[in-house]
Amino acid sequence: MKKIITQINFFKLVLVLVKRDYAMQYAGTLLGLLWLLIQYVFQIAVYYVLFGIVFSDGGGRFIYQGDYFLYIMSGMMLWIPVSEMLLRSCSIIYDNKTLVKRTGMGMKLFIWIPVVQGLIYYFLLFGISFAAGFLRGGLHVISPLAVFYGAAVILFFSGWSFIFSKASLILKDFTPVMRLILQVLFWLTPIIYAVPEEYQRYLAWNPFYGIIELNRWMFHPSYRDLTYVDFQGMFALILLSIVSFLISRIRLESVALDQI
Amino acid sequence: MILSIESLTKDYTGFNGFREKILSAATLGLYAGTFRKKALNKISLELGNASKGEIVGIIGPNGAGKSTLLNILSGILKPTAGQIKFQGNVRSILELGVGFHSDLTALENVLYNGILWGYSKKFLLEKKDDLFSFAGLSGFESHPLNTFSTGMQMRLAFSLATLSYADMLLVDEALAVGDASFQQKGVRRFQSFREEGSLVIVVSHDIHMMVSLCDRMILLDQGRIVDFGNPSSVSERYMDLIAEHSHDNAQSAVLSDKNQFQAYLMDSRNRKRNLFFTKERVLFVFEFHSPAVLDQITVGIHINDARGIRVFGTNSRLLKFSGLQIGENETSIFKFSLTLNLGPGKYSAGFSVHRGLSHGTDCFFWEEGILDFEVEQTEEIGFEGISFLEPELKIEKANDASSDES
Repeated sequence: MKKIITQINFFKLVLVLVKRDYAMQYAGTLLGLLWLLIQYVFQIAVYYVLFGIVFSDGGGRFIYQGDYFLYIMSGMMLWIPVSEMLLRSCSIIYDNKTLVKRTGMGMKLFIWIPVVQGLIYYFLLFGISFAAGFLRGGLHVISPLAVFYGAAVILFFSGWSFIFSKASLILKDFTPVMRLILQVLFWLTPIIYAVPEEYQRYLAWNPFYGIIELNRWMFHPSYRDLTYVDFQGMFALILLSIVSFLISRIRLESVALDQI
Repeated sequence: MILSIESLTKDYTGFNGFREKILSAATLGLYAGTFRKKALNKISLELGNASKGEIVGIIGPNGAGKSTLLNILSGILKPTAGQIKFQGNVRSILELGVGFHSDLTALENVLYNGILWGYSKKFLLEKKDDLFSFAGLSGFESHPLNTFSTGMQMRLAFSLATLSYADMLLVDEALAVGDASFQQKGVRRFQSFREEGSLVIVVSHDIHMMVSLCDRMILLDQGRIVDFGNPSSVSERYMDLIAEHSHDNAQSAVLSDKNQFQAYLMDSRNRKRNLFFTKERVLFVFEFHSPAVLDQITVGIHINDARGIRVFGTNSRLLKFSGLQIGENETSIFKFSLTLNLGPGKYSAGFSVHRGLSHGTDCFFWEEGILDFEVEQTEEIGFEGISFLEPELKIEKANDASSDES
């Protein structure tokens, strides 16, 4: 019972820090946290206009021909939280270095901030997508269950988020490198564009391909037949994650702490 | 509250160049680089008291391991080896950075940081007036922190950290930026923590404040405990240590032999005495023999009270004697004439020979407590305190021009 109370108090503190992180980012702005929502809605709207309207005729088979709104939303609702979480994890400890030294729980506490923020982004985007999809029609009765899959994906990537938050203390170049990798991965993954079947084998080792396609299928099952999707990249990532997690448990935290 | 430390060791890992950093990040810390620094070396201690609180000071030169020890005690760093046993809550004010964010208001920072320090939001809101008042910042609650000076931020952080009792309070140079009156308030707060049973561990370079504040002191050097116990004797050992270090740097241990010097006190009639009266003029005489030529030297004197607090210090340079020289195999006699405007009590005097303004560089000789003497108060001079400031009182009446003096 004592352990449960300790855990509850721990996550209460994490929530305070998440709130503080937003307060810091948006302190003094007119719209505050609303900027977060505006930023994502605007980003998705630009892609929607370009790939769903402007290039819808001239883009050939790389433009999704079904309900493009559901297509882009079911991709972005997962990509944005995962990429934001991984990127933020690279700087979270360094940005809060002095505060980390204020509390004995320092590092353990702060590495959860990007994870909670990732979940917030996901639930926000899922809510918007679900509401819009419901109003437009096209969702399935099992569509709400996709929220569990999405949350599980975020929690899966939280392991990498923990690793990056510590490794970035050793090598500060982690943040620009991560930004670069995420940019490449974004354009290598069919999130805003579609990939004709003959090219899909080239995506087999991109783990995000399987992850996003699975999400699309869960969000609106009529989207496509998943038997044509290669999941080896996704399974390879799961295996790599388990190995990396075990290695990082050995001494990554103590080496990282020595660099603060 | 008892803190037990057994064979505590801390080796910092680090990297020599980017290649090692990349390799370490790529192997997720398995490769930890080749740079190693031993910050603490098998430290064992028992601090605190089962029945009452204690204030323990940690002193030592830069790189001695003071901050590392506090970081480990607060749980920020992990020790390489050894054990720490302590039951209770720990709060720390480490380093000058306070973890506040400049864009947030003072109250927002207090709430966010306070919750992180274990206070509830309700408690903080209830106590916010006391908190800001103690920091001398009443009325500044809604001001953004970027309008605060470093000293104001530090006062706020100190006030927040000490808002309520903690079983162990760790303080690293937290009072360094406060003014004298805030330092006194801070010291009183440490004392009230001690009275409530708290173990307060303070790191500071202000030796005299530490001597007057602490019940016991620890002297650390190169990760080891050099001395532990009575603050006065530990601070004297620290002065010796600084002198030894600068001795090593100067490589000129020409006056290290104690047989080469003599010191004594004389009154105005050239009688050697050790008991004097307040306001009496006294000669502090220091004779020494130098086997080698010493040039550009400074000769200094310092007087400590019974608690080890420095009551006075001066040197030939401050008295406008620059560039003193002593020839080879020459005996020089230095006489410092002082008026003992001191309160009654026991005192000790020490001497130093070094280059420059302080004994931190090129120190040839440093000795604390060479001379012990006592000061008594005469009947005609009545006063309280540690110094006699030759008071005068002037009384004026507002309605007429007449005035009385006494």
